[in-house]
Amino acid sequence: MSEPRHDTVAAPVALVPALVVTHGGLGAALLGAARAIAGAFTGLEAISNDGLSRDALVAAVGDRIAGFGPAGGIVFADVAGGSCAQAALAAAARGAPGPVRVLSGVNLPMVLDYLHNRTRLEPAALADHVQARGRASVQLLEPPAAATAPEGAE
Amino acid sequence: MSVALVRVDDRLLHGQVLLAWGCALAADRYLVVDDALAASPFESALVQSCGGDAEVAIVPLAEGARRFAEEEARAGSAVALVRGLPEALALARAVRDAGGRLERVNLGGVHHAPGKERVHDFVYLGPEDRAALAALRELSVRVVVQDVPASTPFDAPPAWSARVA
Repeated sequence: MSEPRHDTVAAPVALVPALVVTHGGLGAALLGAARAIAGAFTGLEAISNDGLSRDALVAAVGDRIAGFGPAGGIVFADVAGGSCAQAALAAAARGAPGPVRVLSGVNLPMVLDYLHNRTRLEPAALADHVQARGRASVQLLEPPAAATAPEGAE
Repeated sequence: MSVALVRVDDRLLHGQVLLAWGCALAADRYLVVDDALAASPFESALVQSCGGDAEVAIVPLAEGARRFAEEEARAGSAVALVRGLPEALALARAVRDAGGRLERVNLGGVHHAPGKERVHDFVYLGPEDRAALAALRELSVRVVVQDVPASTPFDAPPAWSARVA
């Protein structure tokens, strides 16, 4: 397995803002799980597409990323090609104060990696780092070779 | 083969369509009939990039009936999408005027917007929607409410339609 590279940063950078856009309650649940692991945090919000038309979702994402600032930020979406990812790309294209990186396939390791590195890495490097962490987190797990099966197991 | 599903969904081509309906119907093609989308090269490219291996065509309403008829001669399975009930009515009329018939429409998602009221979890209707439902009924187009293949479908109740004068 290749682990994401931990870039060395000489000095802290400004916190990179981010937004999680998902179907249903997934985004809120991811942030809740992240708080349980990493502790309380601010500056990362989740919105759901529940009950929103395409246009309303684009507007909702646009409202949030308008506050990202000229350095830009990251939008996490769940399904590539889904309404949330489309809304993120559309909102970013329609006018954001800075570059917006849209990462699909959001999972908990990605959110934790973002929280850990969001004041260490510049936005573009952070997006790369989080993407690598997300990919590395998807594995087919097998027991260690030296392990023995529990007694009674076939 | 004719279009396997004509769906009213204000999100047009999105996860529910691609991952649920697309798999259930083994859709090879998506035909998005929408004036606003067809007029925007960026939005069109964005939506077309979501289709994966499936073909995604985006056409204005004026071309919808012709493309709909062309599907009759094509192999495989297609899903057609419009964003609202008035657009479904316009397509049904255009198909009729071209000598065809749109028999059934899937009402899959019309979400909240100013002037619309909730009639179901994923259906919010305004006066234009109710009038379109009534007109579709007059055209003998069956409107079936169903968001995903796994949910139980039902016919749009007459009470959702505006009274026809």
